[in-house]
Amino acid sequence: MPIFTSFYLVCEAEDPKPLKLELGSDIYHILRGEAAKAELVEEREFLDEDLIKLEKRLSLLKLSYNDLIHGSYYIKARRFLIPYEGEGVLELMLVKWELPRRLSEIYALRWLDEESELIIKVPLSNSRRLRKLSAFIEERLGLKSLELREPWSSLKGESFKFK
Amino acid sequence: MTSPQASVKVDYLSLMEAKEEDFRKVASEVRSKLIPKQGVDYKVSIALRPELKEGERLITFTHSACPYCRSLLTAVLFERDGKVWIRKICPEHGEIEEIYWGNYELYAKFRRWQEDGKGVDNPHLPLAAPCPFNCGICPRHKSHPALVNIVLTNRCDLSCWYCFFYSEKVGYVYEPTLEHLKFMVRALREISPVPVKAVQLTGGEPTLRDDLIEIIEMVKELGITHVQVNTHAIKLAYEPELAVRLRRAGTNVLYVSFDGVTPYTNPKNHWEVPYALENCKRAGLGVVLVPTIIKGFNDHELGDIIRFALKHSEIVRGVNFQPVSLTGRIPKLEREKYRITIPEVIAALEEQTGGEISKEDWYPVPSIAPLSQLIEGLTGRSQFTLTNHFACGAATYVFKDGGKIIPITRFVKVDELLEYLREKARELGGGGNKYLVLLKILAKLNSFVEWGKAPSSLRRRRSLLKLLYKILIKHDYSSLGEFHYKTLFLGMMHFQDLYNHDVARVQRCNIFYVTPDGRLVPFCSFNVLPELYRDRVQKAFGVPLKDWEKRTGVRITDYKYKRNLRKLVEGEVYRRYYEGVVNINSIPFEDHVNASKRFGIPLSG
Repeated sequence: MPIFTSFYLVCEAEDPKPLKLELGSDIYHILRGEAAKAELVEEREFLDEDLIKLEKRLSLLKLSYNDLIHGSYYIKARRFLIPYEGEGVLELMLVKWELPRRLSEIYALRWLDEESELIIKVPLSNSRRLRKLSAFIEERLGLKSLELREPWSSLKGESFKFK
Repeated sequence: MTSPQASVKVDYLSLMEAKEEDFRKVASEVRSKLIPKQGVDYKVSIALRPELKEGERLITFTHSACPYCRSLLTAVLFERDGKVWIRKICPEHGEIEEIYWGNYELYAKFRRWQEDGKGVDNPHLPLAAPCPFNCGICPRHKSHPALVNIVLTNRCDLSCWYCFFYSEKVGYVYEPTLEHLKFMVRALREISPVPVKAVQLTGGEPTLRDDLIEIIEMVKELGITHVQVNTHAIKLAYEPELAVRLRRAGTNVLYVSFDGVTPYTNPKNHWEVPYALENCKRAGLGVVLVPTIIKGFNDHELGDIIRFALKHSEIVRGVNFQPVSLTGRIPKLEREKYRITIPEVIAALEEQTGGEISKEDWYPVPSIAPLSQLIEGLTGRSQFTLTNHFACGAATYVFKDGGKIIPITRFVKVDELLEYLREKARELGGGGNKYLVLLKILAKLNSFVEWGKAPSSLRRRRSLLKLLYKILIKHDYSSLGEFHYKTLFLGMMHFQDLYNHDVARVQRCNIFYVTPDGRLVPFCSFNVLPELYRDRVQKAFGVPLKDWEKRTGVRITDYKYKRNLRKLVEGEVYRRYYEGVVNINSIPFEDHVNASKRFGIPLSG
């Protein structure tokens, strides 16, 4: 069965400008327009060959691996089991970014497979409710019955709450 | 991996009559072949982190390319003896250490002004390689392009000893047709959310193109509002009509190489610049002087360059100092001999102006970003914002007041003003009422200016405040041009080389080149990794010298410049322009001759 790789990271830097960031993802597999949460099977060290996969995610925030190494950071590659060949993978990337003008963001990324380009991103920085997120995903990605009862579990740091 | 070859070659002669749309097709066909390839063009060895040594204090880590094999490495930035250094270790070529910034205190002061941008919404390339091997623009780039260089030709009528990329050296002529240039300019205008509005036409020597005026008109028609032409200005010294035509076509300013005020420091165009300035003055065409600063060569003439600029401030709009980039393989001792960084140029200027321009007068380029962010908040539209790395450049404005130089910081509380604008921009970003915020700003603006210390030209009409009012309320930038007529802009831009290369700076770069396949490549990738960018694309779209000569009927060496030194030195204009700055009579004529010959410019007459 295929394995999908995503990342968990925490970073704090001062140079060239302050950056405080926590990023993690919930992974869903898609079958017949419905998404179900994928099982995390392994958490391993970040390797050089993970660089581009990571930067595809960071670039949505106009960040790069170079920004991480500017400060102290913790990063792990997370591997999820995709139990059947469906219509790709949905990744809900959750970002807690402490900057004066940016607080937290969510990106919904739909991948055909681990290597392909993301199809759509849904930044929800202004949308603070889970049901809005569900509606967004349903509307923009055409997915139904998304289980969001237990979201944001991928972030380990200070509680990441949407009010 | 030392000499990567572009596998692609476009039959450019067959495209001489091609239309813009044809170039779009060609570009899309060849682009993927021009992009650097891992294992062929570069390697990635970022696992190794250089250790700090005794007496060194960590600043940060970054990525940097090896000067010898272009492997991407992890580098450490650290403080030692009050200076900032960069060190990296290549598995193949060992440890490479270089001065990064000559003053840590100033580094820390500049850093607090760093602002990052939002990049572009429609990058030209998918993210497929690590920075800086994915330039084009790539999705991770942080700044939008502020100024884009368009290379009009690689032909030049000089053969400077240090230059490696003019047509005779490389064996081909790169000269995009007008239709091809249209395609390239259109690519700039399609950039979102801030389409490119400023370009620099460069070379080679762009004035060698017979259709230069047509090109400028085309660029303007496509919506570019600021056109600057980067030239040695020699042709302008002899052809007054050229200055008039350039101005009429819409050129905003000329960027003119000017490395010093004597023949010893500026053998390239010391004799021609006065005549060129005189012709530009008559045509009303502003000039920015661009000295490349090399330690031990011309760093003792920085104050004189400013005095020269102020003497001719009716036509010289600014001076943009560029500390030298050391390209090619240069041994460490040699690098130490010539290397100078921004803080050292600032210190030399303080010394050579008797403290009239001090280090406190300089600000990093992104310090002005809060003004753009504020206008963005007021208008709701993305604005042109300068967000390059704080270590890339510095700037200030100075005014001539009688015999004195008055920097803007002496009568404007710049720190407080910028902090205030930043705070108000954040207030708007957080949902503040824009009318209320604007009212607060307008009520407060006057408190940032100490009119008693301002130059008399500004005191009389309070023109500085009027300028800010116009920008904030009417979002009218036309008055900025008027402001530049009253002041002298002083800037610095330290382009990188492979010894001090820092990927964090590349990712924030806002000075780009447009390539013939329509990509936008940051300045410090285009020129720092020429085998992967500049030389590769120009060779692919170039015409072999012999074919070019056959097609045009011109021999490539026919138009090389020969200097009539005696005529230039004896001219009234020459003497008048340098009078009071340098004693021309104290320079023996033989020295003029030797300086010109050593540089590689033969004499006539």
